[in-house]
Amino acid sequence: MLPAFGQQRDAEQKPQCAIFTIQDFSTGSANKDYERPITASVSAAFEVGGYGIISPEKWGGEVQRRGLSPRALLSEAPALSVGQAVGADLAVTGYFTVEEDRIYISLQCWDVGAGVLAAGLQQTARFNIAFYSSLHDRVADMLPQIRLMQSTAQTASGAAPGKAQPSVSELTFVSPDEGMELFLVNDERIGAISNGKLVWNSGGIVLGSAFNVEKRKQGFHTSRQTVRAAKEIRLSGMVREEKRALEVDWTLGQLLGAGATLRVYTRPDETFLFIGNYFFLQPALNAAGNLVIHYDTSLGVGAYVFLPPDSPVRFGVSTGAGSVVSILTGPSNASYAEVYLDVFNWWVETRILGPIIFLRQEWKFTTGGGSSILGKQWMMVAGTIPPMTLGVMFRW
Amino acid sequence: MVRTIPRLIATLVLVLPLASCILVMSVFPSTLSQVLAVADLSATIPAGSGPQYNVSVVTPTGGEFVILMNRSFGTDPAAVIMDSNLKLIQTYTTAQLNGWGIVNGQNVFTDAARNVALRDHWFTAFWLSTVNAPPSGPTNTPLFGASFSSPAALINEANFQIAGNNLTYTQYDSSWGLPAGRGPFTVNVAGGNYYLNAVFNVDDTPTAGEVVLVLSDSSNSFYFVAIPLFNILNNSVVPPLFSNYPYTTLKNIDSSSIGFAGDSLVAYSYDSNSLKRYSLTPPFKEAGSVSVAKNNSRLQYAYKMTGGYSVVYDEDARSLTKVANWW
Repeated sequence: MLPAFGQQRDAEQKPQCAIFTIQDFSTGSANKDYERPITASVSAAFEVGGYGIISPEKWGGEVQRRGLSPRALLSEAPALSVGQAVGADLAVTGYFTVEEDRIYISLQCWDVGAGVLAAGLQQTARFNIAFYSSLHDRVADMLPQIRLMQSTAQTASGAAPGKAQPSVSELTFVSPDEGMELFLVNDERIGAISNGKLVWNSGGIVLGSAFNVEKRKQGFHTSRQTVRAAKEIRLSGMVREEKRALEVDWTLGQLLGAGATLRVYTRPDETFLFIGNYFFLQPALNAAGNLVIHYDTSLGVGAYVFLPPDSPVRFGVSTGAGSVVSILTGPSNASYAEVYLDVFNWWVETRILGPIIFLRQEWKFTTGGGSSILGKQWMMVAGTIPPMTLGVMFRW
Repeated sequence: MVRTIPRLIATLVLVLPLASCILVMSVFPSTLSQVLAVADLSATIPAGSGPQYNVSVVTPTGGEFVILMNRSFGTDPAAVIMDSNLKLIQTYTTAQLNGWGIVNGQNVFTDAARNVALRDHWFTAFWLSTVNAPPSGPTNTPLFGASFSSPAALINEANFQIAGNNLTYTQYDSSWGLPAGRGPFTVNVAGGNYYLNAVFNVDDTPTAGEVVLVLSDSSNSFYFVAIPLFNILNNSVVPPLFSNYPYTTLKNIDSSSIGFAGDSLVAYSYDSNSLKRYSLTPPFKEAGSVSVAKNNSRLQYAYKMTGGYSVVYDEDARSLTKVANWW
């Protein structure tokens, strides 16, 4: 048994793959033009996954020489025969149908040496521009399932036998997350981390080839990681599911002070309620003036968008309401209350530097009223810039 | 090392002001910290009538007052008299003023005898601060237009007005006698329609002082025109004004914010949402500014002409705020 998936830098050692045209089986011929980009997307996924791609000209010439119709290639025997003739280790056939805005696609991956189906894929999806990248990802996820017998294709076609491909059978996953379970993306369980490691007898994987694993542990966010086959594979740490967080804030326009915001997550690290406090001072402009004390309280809801909790960079949005009480310490003894709607905030945060650091832009609209200073308007620093908050976040 | 230290100093000189500027940036008006007093007049001035009132700061001998004058005849209160801490002293009703023979005019200013000329009579500081005390004498003219006094020359120059393209005013002595009409003086040789917003005696030196006329036109341009006080006092203004006197044009400023604060002229700029100071002499260079919140309320600014503070009247809220000068 010689596994042949994965990426290999030496072109001569790459398993060779003949990807026949993924054919349009839709009613009519309106979707025939999609055959090329869909086939190209599948080819790209195999190429990235470490396969050498046999050119369509090469296998096309063989098909023509044999007088085969395109549809005939969907059958096992012709696909294997042509694949063998062009020196392929793997032959990929497939078709798709488009109905309204949805597409169904079916792929078959034939082990040419063993003459058996090595892997397959069926997918139904909305047919738009995003389909191609999702197809690429699905194919990439399928690659680890493919196990190829020793190729006889090259010898059968009269070519020189290929070099033996270096492989590794026993892979040791190393992780700080004790008890973490590891799965292949087809949900095949590899095992659990014990004493900091997990030994997996894979049966042989091309050294250096890339494949995805899924990490699962109670109380932690499930995540996927792409690893390269090696005797020892170090896994990144999992991200604990946190239900509370405290922001320490510093806001432009309120820099002579600081704030703290408590987050309570309704879905760990995804959606939350918040209550914020910010205390800041406004200095006098000269000796005739007096210090002004401002106290800002706010509450609202927020959510992360686009990226999962273990991403090094994440984005989020929030909304809410609040008020700023301003106390003039001078002889006027006046005080004001500015009620505002926290109409829309968005932020970007990163853990690259260690602690979570975020930068948030805030669009607040004051509601006016008797005790208002600003009346009804957007709160702008110096009249032109929306408040920006820089902060550090601690989660537990 | 020898070069490093000057570079370091130069960097600090550049960075520190910028850093301090960023530190004090705020969503609130910078002048909030300069507030010295606040007066809520919503119980004194009826709702909806706030825009009828003009705010002034007057500094007669023996007193200092903030006065709101009602421009609408027959509605009350006709005037609101406060001390310089915005404490209400009294309000005058229309009937009360009529009973004293005050029947016309709408403006107020400190006259050449250091009394308070109010509509068509004048009060000493003592009588103004005494509840229900009648005026001390008549001004012999109802005060409608912009006016100023020259205590140094013992002259009152009243009711500056521009009709179309011609400036006129009337001169009185310090006892409001010897009235003498002045003008008309052409403003612009090319013609046009101008409005006189204000007139300030910025240097009360009869032989070498200066008066600043603030004019505007329909294109929302404002003109600071510098005319020697001597010309005003001696009826020797040379028309057309734009051809014979230096002036500066300002755009997009709030006419209700223009004032003379003792050592500078001040106006609110809509472009930068800031109050700007200008020098008193041509070319009226900008001498500084302070960022304030976007001005979407109807605000009037009145400046104490001997310096120190201004009073901001919010026509909508019917409130007054005394603000120390920020410079």
